[in-house]
Amino acid sequence: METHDVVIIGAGHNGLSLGCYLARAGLDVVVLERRAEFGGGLSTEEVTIPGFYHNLHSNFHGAMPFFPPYMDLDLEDHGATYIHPDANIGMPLRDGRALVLYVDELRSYEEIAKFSKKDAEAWLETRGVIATHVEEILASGYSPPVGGADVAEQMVREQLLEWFGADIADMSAVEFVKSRFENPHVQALILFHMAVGGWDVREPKLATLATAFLGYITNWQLCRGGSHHLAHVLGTVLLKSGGDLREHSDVARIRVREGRAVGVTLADGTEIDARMAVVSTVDPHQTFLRMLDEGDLPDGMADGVRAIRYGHGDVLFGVHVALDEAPRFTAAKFNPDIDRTFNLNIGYETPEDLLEHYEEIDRNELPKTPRLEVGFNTLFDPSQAPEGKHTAVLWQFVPFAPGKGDGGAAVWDELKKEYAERCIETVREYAPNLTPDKVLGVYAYTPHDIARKMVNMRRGGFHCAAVLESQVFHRRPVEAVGGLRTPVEGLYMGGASVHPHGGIIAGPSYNCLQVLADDFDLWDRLKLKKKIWDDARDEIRARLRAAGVRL
Amino acid sequence: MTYDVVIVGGGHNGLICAAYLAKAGLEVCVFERRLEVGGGLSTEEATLPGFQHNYHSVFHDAVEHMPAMEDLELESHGAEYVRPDVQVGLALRDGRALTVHADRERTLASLGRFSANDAAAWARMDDDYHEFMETLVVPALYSAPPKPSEPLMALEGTPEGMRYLRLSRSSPADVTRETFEHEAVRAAVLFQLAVPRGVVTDYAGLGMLVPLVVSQVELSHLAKGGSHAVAHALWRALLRAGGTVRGTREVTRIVVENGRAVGVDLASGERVVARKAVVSAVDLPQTFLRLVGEQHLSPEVARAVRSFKLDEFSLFGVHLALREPPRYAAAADDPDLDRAFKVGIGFDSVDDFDSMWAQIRRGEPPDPPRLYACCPTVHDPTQAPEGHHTAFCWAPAPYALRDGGAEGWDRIAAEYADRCMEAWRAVAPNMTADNVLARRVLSPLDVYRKMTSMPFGGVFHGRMTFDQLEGFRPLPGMADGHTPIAGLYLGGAALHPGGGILGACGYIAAGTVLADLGVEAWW
Repeated sequence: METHDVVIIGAGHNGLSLGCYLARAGLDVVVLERRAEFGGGLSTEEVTIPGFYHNLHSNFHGAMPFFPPYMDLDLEDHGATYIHPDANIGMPLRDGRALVLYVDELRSYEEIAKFSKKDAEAWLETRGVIATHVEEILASGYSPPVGGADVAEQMVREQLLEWFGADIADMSAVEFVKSRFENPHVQALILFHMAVGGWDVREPKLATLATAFLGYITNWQLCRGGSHHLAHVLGTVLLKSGGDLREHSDVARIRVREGRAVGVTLADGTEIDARMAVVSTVDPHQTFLRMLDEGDLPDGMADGVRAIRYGHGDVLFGVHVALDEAPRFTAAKFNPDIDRTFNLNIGYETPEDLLEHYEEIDRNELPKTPRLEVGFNTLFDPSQAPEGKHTAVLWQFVPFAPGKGDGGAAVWDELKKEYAERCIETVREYAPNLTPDKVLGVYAYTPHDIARKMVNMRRGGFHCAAVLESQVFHRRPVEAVGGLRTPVEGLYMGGASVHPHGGIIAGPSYNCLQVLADDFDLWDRLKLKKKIWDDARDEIRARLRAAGVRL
Repeated sequence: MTYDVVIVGGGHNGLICAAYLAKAGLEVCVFERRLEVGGGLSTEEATLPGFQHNYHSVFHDAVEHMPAMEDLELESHGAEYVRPDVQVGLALRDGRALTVHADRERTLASLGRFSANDAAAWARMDDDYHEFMETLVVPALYSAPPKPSEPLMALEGTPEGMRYLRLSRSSPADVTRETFEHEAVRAAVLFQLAVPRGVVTDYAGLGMLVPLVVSQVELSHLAKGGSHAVAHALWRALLRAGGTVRGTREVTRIVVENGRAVGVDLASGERVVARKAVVSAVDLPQTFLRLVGEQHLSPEVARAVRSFKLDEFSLFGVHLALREPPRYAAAADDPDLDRAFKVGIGFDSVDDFDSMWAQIRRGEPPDPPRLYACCPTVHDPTQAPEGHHTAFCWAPAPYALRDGGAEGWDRIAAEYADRCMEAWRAVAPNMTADNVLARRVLSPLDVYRKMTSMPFGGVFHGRMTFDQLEGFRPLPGMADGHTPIAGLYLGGAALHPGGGILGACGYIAAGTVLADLGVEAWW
């Protein structure tokens, strides 16, 4: 019988990162992946024309400066390079102006001031608050959630009140942004940045998430060579640390003996035992309803899992384009940097433009007027296309299954070609040089395709469990399910469906690591570098303990 | 960055060479231009999610022979193979089918349905040559070629030896004609030359490929999960041996100082120092003309490199996501056809090959397209979502079209793919638009766009003609990987025994490098 200390299900970036950490600590680890390629959302393929690389999933990596594996695992020594474009986020406007936000705060200030002096001041003030408290904000994301206690929630409320001088805890992102900024374009760009995080900016009580997102609004970075390159680097570190990584290994069962997870069985019948723990980095549905029997779960838990909502605010239609030339925006006359801005909002000119899409999606309608998140990666990394050529990625929020029905496959097959053209048309409206003859190839990637390729992105949602007020912090994926430590002894969750959320942030795996370190006394062996948020975390915990919260 | 050995190109040969050297204790790094390593070991979800398409190599014939499988423990690193029982099938125009099996008796039974004489001739040829192929010819793929006189001297003393020498001077078409009488049987032999061996039927000096094919010492295998799974296995083996791989790092120059290769420059501007050797596993023209530069070559060598003949054909591929596998009408004649690994369509006679090659040499896309068709999921269902299938057909085709050059492919690819589908449907009626969920075309120009080591879409890295094989591949004096530049070695398919997933060139080069370093081979 093949036996390891820890068996990790799923080789997305969370599974790989966790595997690296544990292998480096001297544990015998195997990471099992259903697909032929590991990396999950770190996926880059030549889907249009050979030589044009397209990031089919994650493209804008916002967590890089504080991504724990980057700090602990020497990823750059193993070949990872990140590019941090100075003109980081921006929007061309129909009236010929452009709003660009820079890594350089003062440049952002100047640009915002062209739209509203007051907002420019508010920008500096808000960013100042966040810069002052970045440690606390990061501590919240990169520590196991503290939950279930009113005192903890009250502490967060008071903290926000202290920071922002207003009781924002119950606000939605829209309310929070509108309360601090007045110009609709400034509001729209900031809200866009939150919306592309994949959560509903209308959802009440998510203002704390909004503040966290404001923290890295100009942190978007690009993985040189394509997002999948980071998967190669993580895989390299895993193997070089003595861990094992196996593709084509579809876990069919998590085996439970006397209430304890003892191993897994693959679809081909292979049995692999785990001495210490089984960690699932896939979604709760697969983990609890497919890989386990209901009998293995506490009473009522299966219903709790069934109640989890997937695909809300994080469902995207992707249009991947091979281009003969780079875009030239009309708005470049106003600010030439718009032609070299990394994360572009094309079309959401006011908050209402965004809200209209949410409403259309609520009604299961395809947004009539595409408005997009767009990136032209080759402006910053020419290696992603043949010399002189370019790529573009266009993301449009959509319902998983437009119209009626719940599968969406047939509907999308009918719609996708034409809708992709309409998305490109939206870009063309702002960058008229991208005439049809400049479009060399197009690959439309529907939410249905996403759910088929990445089965844990149920209903196409990249958070692998929607980010809703009822499904964040200690309630993630949902209160009844239990977060990082599951009710099944020896079984842990370490993927996007647990705190904090999805995206290439390695938060869930880092949090899972801490829980494993506690449970198996691994802290000394992990040799983690001190993180900027460690002291803040300890302080928060000390305060909670003093208030009587059991941690 | 400093390593003992720098390898340029992470195709299977580069990876194998690197893994052998790393296991010998050298500090090795492979630099690959593309995001993915593996070169021709390429599998992509090119049509729809979950449908795995092997864009390049599919038929791996050397699995049971290549030392790397055992030496590098590739199976434990994830390289698993299936060996289809029905190796080859020809769907003939008259509705009949001929099948070649891994099992000799079943092959003879199928041949016997066409010609009892041919079945007997096949058995005789197998009897005569099987052991010779198994013990001498195939193992010779895995060592530096001997001096040209050595095989002559070994063989010229006996009538059997003289018979073999004569046969090996002929072309495969000639040997086939004089050995077999039925056109379908001849076609079944010749069909196995272009793919995966790169040999055109009239290449004089390669007649011995006919007994090689007939002896079935090399059986076609399919990599489970797709060819790229083997690349992952090699990657794991290399890392576990202490080696390093750097993807998305293009080598732009092999640095030669005082006549010695001392490192490489990367497109990123970095310089990598090679303490002991640089091994180029990319093609010959790139190695010498682009990376080394003619200024470091003698005029003779530069001329010889420029005169190296590149492949005279490429492959036009149509990759399909299917509801159901192709069902051939001729399966009514021989049900095994539906289970055949490699199905020939349009290859009924020697004339069919002649006319196809003549068209290719004139720069015309063969009309009708003649196809190597395959449905991998019949043999390995994991390559498509449950209940679905992948399939592809390859039509041998010219790189540069007489009409419009290579760029002409962008214009006609879709239409030529339609014609390939027509030809397929003519023998497999269920290959209708209904059955095809999605399609992806890879023209010869696309092959070159993707793999710059396959110059002009030539998947074999250089023409597999007698004057460019064995001790003459790529050029006299370089067959074991040595080059005129000290410290620079060749390790890719430019070497003997040439292109295809043989796992030989990189293995031979590793031996040469170690011998020069005075390190004993560990294997």
